[in-house]
Amino acid sequence: MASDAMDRTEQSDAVERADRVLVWLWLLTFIVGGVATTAVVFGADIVLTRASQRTDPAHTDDHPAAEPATHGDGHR
Amino acid sequence: MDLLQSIRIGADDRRLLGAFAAVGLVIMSLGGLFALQMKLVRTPALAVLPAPTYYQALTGHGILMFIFWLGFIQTAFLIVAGTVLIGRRLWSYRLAWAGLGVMTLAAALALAGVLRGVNITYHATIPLAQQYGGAWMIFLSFVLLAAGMTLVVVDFIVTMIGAVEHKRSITAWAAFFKSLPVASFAALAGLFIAVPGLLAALRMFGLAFLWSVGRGTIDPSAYRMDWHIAFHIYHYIPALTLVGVAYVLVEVTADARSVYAKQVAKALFLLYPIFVPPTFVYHLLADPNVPRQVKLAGTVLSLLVGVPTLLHTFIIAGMLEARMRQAGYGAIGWLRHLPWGNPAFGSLIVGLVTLFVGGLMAYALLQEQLAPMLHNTFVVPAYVHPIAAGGANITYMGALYYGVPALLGRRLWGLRIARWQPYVMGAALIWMAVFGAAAGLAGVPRRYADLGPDAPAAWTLWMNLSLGVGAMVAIATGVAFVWVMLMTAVRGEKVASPQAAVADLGPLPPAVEHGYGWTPLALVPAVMFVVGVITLTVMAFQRLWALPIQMR
Repeated sequence: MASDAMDRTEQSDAVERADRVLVWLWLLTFIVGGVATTAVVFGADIVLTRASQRTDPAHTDDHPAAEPATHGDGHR
Repeated sequence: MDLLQSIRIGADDRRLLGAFAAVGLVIMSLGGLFALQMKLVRTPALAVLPAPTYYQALTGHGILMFIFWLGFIQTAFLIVAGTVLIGRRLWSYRLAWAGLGVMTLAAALALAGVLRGVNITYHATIPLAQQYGGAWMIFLSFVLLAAGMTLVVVDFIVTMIGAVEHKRSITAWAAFFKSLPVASFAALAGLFIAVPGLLAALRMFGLAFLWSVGRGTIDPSAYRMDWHIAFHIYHYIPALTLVGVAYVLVEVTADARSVYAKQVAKALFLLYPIFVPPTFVYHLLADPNVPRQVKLAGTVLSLLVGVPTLLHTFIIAGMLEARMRQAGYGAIGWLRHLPWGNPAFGSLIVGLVTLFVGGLMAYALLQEQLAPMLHNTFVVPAYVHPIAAGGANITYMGALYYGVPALLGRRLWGLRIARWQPYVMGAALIWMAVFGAAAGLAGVPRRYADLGPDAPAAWTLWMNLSLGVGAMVAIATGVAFVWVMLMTAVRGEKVASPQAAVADLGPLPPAVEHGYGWTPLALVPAVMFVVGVITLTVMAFQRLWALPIQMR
């Protein structure tokens, strides 16, 4: 009947809107999530190193692990 | 039923995925052998091997199981998501084979490094690696693995883009997303984590490889930080993948469809790339160089990291509840009529249960004040095994219970073994976790070959129970799984179609009698998880406050 057909059309429109919203969410995630992940992956160590130097600059350079490593002598 | 009936596996997919499965299962078997070797050193009652072999076994087990086995099987699932599940061909099978070849070479190189005695664990920390002339083999193997996976990821991306007819049209993309099963959309969402993670691994291990062959310098602190970040990103791929696999399994084993809009389930996968990146800090809570404010922020954000998975669990449980109520079963009675005898369904449920247990423990470990008490104790492997060997691995085994017969066109061999395998494995992993946590809380350290001559009696008891019973039974059930897969390939009854190959794995529920759209029982796991986290947190803080030394 006409009202059932209208209900189905409205449902179909709602579904299509939801699918388009999903595309926008995916794009947003690409920008926010993908870029944020890349920023964390490539920038977090720099940020954290600077933050630790701001809070406790005296100890950072004394840490033995802060020395660049050269390849060791011990071979197996 | 529709998803299973719609599956067609072309010859190219069959060969490629068969090769991934075969190499992957060999890698998993070798990882299991190293696990056995570890138990025969570290279990007090079973310590028959010399202590120095422990670190080789630890390195082999960690690298082959966590890095390579998961890398192979997840890459295979990525291919399935872009081909078999959506009825498309890969953009380039040559590229995919090249990726597989590079990944296999990487695995061989890693194994050679382990057998040579490069005992640097999967951390491959720089100060430790300095002592091993063969460390370059491990670093290069990680570079090659990342490179091989990148080739397949590129292939997948081009395949998916190629499936959209009008690439600049939002409507075309909307229609494409609508056509995708939830698992294939999960693979698309996972790219936002996988691609940066792979790039990070290529850079970090590339630099480490160059340093290991004397062609560069490296900052050990920066490497350590980068490693934890890349590792953190990498280990959310299994979280996302196991949920995607769960959506496939719940449909093919129980004919369950979503009663909530599929767009909701798909959108939830987009939360992973949002929630996961900031939470890498929870790996650094015991690091004295990380400011406290950063640790606090990281801990608070980390509390959200389980939200997407909890919501997915609600949807998946709801799919089951709705389907069984639609078949006419009662409000609670439907639970008895689920296909518990189907090994893939058993794997799905056990995978979710072990994920639940591991997740509870993880929520204790990621809290800033509790982490120092638990860090580097045996609580860490105690929580890792139900989450990784349970949640991810058992769920993947469930997929293979369908995937291997379907690929080979053979019925599953050893159905009687397969019926109990996931349940016993899950129980063993939970047993290992409970007594392992007790050992860690009693002070047993992680990554030590033996307990030492002055160890308290309680340490010996907990470790014998955790490893001697739990881990050994888990290893035995892993052997049973591999045996079933091998015998299926060799002795499984040949049939004409993928559907025929899996038809005897378990009955589907009766036909739908009436509509049913609300799922109250599906809320129970999520509520139990929240209550469990709160309870475990209270218990852990009471333990912390009872310590003779208070950390401020």
